[in-house]
Amino acid sequence: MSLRRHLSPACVLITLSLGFTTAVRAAEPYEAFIEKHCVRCHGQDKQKGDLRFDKLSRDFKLGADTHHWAEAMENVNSGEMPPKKDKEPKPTQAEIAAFVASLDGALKEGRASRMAARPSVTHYRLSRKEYQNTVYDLLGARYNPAIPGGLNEDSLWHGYDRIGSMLSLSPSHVDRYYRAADTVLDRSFPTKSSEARKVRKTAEEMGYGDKNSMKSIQESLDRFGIKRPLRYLLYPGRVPTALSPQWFGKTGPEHSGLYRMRIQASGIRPLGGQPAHLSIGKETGEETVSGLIEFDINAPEDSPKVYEFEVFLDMPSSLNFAVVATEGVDRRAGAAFRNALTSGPAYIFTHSSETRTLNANAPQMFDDKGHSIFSTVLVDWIEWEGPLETKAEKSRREGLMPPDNATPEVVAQYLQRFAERAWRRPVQNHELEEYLKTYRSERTAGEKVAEAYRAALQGVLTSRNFIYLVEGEPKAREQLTDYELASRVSYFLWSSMPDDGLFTAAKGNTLKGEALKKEIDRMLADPRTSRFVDDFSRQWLQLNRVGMFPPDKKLFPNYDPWLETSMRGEVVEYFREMFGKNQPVEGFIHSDWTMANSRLCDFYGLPEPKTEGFQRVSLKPEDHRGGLLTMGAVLGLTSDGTRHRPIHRGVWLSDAILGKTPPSPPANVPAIEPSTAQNPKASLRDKLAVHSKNPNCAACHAKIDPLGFAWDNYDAIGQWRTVEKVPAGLGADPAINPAGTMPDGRAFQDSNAFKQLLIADRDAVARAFIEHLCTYALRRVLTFDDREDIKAIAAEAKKNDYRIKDIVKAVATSELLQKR
Amino acid sequence: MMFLVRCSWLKTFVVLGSLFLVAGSLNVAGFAANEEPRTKNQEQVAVPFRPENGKFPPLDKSVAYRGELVFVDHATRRGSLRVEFKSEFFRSPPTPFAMLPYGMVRYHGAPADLRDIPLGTIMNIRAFLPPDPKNSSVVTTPNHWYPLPLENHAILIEDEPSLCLREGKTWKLKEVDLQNNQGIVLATRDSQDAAAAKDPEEKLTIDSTTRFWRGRESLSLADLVAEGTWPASGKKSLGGQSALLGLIWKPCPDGIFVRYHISDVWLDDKATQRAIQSQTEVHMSLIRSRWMPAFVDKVEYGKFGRATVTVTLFGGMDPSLYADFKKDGTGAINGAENTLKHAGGSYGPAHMASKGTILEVIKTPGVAPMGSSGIQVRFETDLIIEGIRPGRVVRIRPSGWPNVYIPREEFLGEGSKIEDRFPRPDIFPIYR
Repeated sequence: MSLRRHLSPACVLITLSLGFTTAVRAAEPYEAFIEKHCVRCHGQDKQKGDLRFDKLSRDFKLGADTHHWAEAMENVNSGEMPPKKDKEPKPTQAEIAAFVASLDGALKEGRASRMAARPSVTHYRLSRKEYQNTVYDLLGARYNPAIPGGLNEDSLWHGYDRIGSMLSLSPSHVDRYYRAADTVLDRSFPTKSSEARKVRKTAEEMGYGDKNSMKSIQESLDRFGIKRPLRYLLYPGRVPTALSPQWFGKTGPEHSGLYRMRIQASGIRPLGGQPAHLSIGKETGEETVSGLIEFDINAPEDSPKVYEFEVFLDMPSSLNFAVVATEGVDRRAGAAFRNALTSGPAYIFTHSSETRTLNANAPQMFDDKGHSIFSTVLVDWIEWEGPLETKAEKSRREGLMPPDNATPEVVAQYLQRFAERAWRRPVQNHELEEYLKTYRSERTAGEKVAEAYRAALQGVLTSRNFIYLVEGEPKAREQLTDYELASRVSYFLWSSMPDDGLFTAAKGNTLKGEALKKEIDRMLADPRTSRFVDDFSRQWLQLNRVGMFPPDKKLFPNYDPWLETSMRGEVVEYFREMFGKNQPVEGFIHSDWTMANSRLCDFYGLPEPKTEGFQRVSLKPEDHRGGLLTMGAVLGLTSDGTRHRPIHRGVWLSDAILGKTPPSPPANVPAIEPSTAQNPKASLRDKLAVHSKNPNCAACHAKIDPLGFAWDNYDAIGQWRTVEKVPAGLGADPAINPAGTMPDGRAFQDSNAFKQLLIADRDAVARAFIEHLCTYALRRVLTFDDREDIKAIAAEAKKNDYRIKDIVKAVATSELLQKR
Repeated sequence: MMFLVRCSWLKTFVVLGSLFLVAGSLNVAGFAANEEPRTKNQEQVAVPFRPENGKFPPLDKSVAYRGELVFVDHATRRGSLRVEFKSEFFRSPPTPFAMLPYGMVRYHGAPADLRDIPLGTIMNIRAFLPPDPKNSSVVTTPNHWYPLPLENHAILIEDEPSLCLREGKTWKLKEVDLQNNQGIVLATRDSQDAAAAKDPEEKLTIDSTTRFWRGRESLSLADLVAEGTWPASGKKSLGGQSALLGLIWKPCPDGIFVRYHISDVWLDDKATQRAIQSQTEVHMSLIRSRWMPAFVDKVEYGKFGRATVTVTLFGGMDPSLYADFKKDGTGAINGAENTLKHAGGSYGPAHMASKGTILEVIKTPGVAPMGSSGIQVRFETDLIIEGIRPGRVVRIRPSGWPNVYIPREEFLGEGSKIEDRFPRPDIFPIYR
């Protein structure tokens, strides 16, 4: 393991905000350092390595000599420069810290400025998720851009997938946008009938084969006098078919759409174990599926329950079941044991008490009291119905298609109305001329009106005006137009295009003052804000990193995909609760409740909830949970899969909660060696302490490390502990020491005390949250120029006690959001 | 006792032998014949005893009878006996029997498998009513006028020498009468127990097929005549010479309904021990490759397939086989059916067996019931298979035994039909 992964924040904690940078000053500390320690070899008299500092550009925004400056910082940071053999006095720790801090700040400011640079016309490409939402809200068409061959994955910046400067457009993107538009139009205006169909498969049909098999099975049942019906036993380790397109008969892409799945099932859990969890999705491995539908099954064996879900399916589509559990039947003997559990004449399952019809060589799934040994799901039947379409979805397409006898003029009017919604602004006739030309040529070639018009629609949907949020015009201006503002707030709060109300307000030029506030209130009350909750919480807290390094199964046998999904869900649902109840911002830091499902409750050691799904549960001090910072997802997203990484935790906290991004670590930091059997066991903190004695590193670590050490009571997947398990070494495992001192000198004893210090700094926490919201809403990195606007939003938010929804509203109605 | 008893289990049998009030007799025991009142008028009789799964039944509830072994399906441990009657033996239709899972076969005074026993051998049986009459793998011939036994699930089936060795009996040869290399031997079967009822004198046929075992020698009738021990022709007193006799049946002239033929004569202890030793080796080899059958007594469950299993090893084996089960040794348990067929064995029975460690080998105090070894093995596995549940039959092996494939007819395999697990009686013809 490289030390980089442990020590990603390097040696200096810099008080730069996420986006803010300070202007380079002539008397910056790095200049004094260079003058004192560098120019004698890299100046006017000598130019070792062909490097001359006085000739390097100080215009960091331009970025001309950025690589030279970065290399200089790296060399000083790592101790390579000034050279050890140099007889001149070595720089002090304070000098190094000041040099790295100021130079890193200048470099960051330059980068931020370049990323935030806005020409007179700016283009912000829609993220995949926003594209999906937009075509749905525009046409009522369901399209999943994340499927293979769909749209390219969006590039991330600090977890955000909507930063304009990161979202480029390559030729392959263009091709994919054309295909996506085709698919969307196919689904919106299908040429083939796609009436909803329903299919139901019983346990017998799914698991027990043909008539010959059934005859043999019936003989077995009769032999033992078993009257109960067959059930389809699902267990961890195999992914049997949950949906086959053949079940419907002939099935093609025209049958894609929303499907309703109903399943009668029950679950048997291991004694004291987790409820059975069923995941239904595309097969991704012998034991796994990509979870399209996820749910716990608490219904007991003798009282099965019907579960119902709606899900979008790209047809033809095959789906599989996966019972997700910490423990499953392993692959021993060439997977023979798990294969022996497969239903059929050799494994006839009716009830956990009726075991004589089960394959004698199959692993036991139930003990003598009917408790499950492994988590199991018993399926009685499954039903699929679709594609379904709501009236609301159909209504979005009403009036979009011109009549068969439409004149070209009428067709042009239709196209203009559509383009104005699609491009989210008024459209001039000449902008559509190319598309109308296409329409005419199609008509000349003999196509019907509908087909020819479809070609024009495709042009609109593949236009930059649809794919991008376009702000500005050739003549530079500072303020957004009302249409631009409508899109900005809409994509901020709904991750999609404006609705009719917003368009009307934009058209009336009324998105200002109180009218804007009312409009934002209306938007915040709309169910579409659920998209904001999902998208923002995921991006702000960098939940994409959860499970990035899968936890080692041997070290953490109780970690499984459902736990990971549940961990992510906790964060999002917690944010939803905070947002929905308009809780003050310090609730992010600490609370006496959380949002958990039964899997998480089991993991945290909380009482099992009585109902399924996420719900608000109370926390006691002895639970050692409360707030975002003690959630499994947050504690685990910085781990390397084997052990916690306090420095990474510190950097994440600094970034996400305090809005300050420490510099990257130097490249040549040696890795932290694991303990050997001959030495006393040492905690990671002890080992880092040795490393931090290096003066080149000490200044940074003093500021980063405490932010991470405070959470040392939580292991790599967020489990509470009082000692750190060290695999090798002499003596007992070392006790956890979560105490530390904040960079400003305030001491804390543990994570609770640390949280209190953060809450005492709620202004800073709220400000960082506002900065994250603004980055998300503006789709760009913040700069020094945004500082006053942020301050104004913070002041407005403080009036309402930094309540979350009020903060969001303050951002949405701020001056900053109305600026280009 | 005249012959040395080699097997320790036999001591148990000798003790139990005192209970054999009927079996010791050459006469057919009072089995429950196929008589209408038995089933139609049950209120007149006590509830019939049937063995229960997972339990060794008391031997005194069994009935004894004997007959000629005429058919064997060794893979399902079933066969047919021509049961002895006082009337026309040749007309007695073959009567099916099935071995109980713990039922023991003995041949030449040693443990055996049905496949070891030549057809025609006179076998002595101790049997119970079918444990599950609705699903019995053998049925008695219905409505047959012969009083055939309904007790057709055997806990013990043994040949004549085995019975004698087990009960401490020996044949006393009184006289031989030979003509043309064949003749009659007069003999009585005496018990060492002076209080035991005397068996009547028997007339047994003998001819050139009879084998004589003396020390390490294998002799024919002609050899005995040549050396002058037996006469070439006419009668000669044998003076009550002790011997063990192997009995078979074959058609007898002169309208004799029931008369047995001597297949083998063991003339001394050394010859007997050689026979015992030879059969013991055959059986040990079989068990080591087919594993030791056992009942599951108890399962203590751990997490995710871990379990500690207690089994009782079936009885009647050579002590060295039991001694192979050692504390802290490793081994495997495979599921089996009442026929003792392995549940799976396509890739050898070990492929899908529960593997683990022997935690303890326990010798239960007191006398073990027939069928049981009185030895329990506690076994810990990390993946318990379905076949290992209390009351079910398993096969267990210590890892030192050879890991070999077994023939197809001796395991069930996936996809087996219910009749493979629970054989139907269809293979037995019904004689009218």
